[in-house]
Amino acid sequence: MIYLLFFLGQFFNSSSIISVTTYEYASASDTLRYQIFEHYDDLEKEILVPKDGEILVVNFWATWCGPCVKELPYFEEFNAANKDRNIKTILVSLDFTNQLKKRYVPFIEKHQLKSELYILDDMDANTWIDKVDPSWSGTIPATLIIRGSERVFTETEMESVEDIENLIKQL
Amino acid sequence: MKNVFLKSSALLLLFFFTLALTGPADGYKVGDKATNFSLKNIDGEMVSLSDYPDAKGYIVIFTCNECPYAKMYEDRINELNNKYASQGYPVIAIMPNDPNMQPGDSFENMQKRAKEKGFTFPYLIDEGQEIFPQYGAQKTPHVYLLDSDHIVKYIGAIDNNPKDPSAASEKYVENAIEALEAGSNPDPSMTKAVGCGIKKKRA
Repeated sequence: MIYLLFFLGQFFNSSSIISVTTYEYASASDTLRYQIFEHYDDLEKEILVPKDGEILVVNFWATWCGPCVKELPYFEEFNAANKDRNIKTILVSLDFTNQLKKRYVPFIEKHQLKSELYILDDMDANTWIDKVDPSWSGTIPATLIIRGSERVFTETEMESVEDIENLIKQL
Repeated sequence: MKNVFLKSSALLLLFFFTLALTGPADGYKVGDKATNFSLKNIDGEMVSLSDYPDAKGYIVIFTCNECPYAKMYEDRINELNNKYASQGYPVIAIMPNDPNMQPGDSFENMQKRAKEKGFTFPYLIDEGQEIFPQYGAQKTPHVYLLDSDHIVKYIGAIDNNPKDPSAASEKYVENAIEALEAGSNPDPSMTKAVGCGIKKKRA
């Protein structure tokens, strides 16, 4: 039995309204939770901020992207192996919000994704792609590692958990 | 003195070697002259930029059947051709993917998709994948607007809202063509967009 909780949170700051929609799923086995961001700036401000000494491993993907789906298990495996370390694995999906029920939700349920899940629904890519990294062409998958003010970015597909660990070593 | 000259020549030579090695992989930048091509259209005929002697420019679009972003832009690509071909700016679409990597992009499926969507422009297959790397196309859809001398004038997206054409506040390609018509350079001349990576043949 799957049920859906829906609540819309609106947070105010001095200049703009941040709109975040949160969905929570509970299936028999586990609880899956994901959040939708309409603006990249809000995702950056709220989520892509590592705590002291923390490392964020951020993967941009989508269910419609073959190479992304292929490398996703390595991120999940990495997440499971690094739970006790100061590392957070964040999966930012570019799935279309009108296809969430049809594609995204069945996918995350089937694979029981344990990493932190977000949807980025910001259509004005020309304004936010460079903020992730100026070298990014806009193709996915793409991976960003953040620690403090240090960043490592790549569009190379991960072919093993070691590939992710090697990226972190580049910090 | 001679020694210094020799050393600097050697350095210069090294510099050009490095350029030669790294240059082509990056593809064209605005201002570069684009290569002509002769690629097979869905009707079996070969199509080349030279087939349009009266063109004032060319809207070259790398696109495909399968990518959700490419699909969202199909109608808009048709509209671009309907609006601008008669003004001297035809759309020429090129499918860059290796069909072995993505069977939905086979030549037969290209013919089928073009018929379903009523494409009014040539839809060419980059057999052997020799053209897209020269342009530097990385994803579908990816637009290169050329002027009549094949000089690249704009590279990037069609507009700034893949999901909803009516919500697009910037029509990059249309604005770029209007700029060319007015005798000026497009601004922006380059934009970025999310898209599907081009499926390369496995080495």
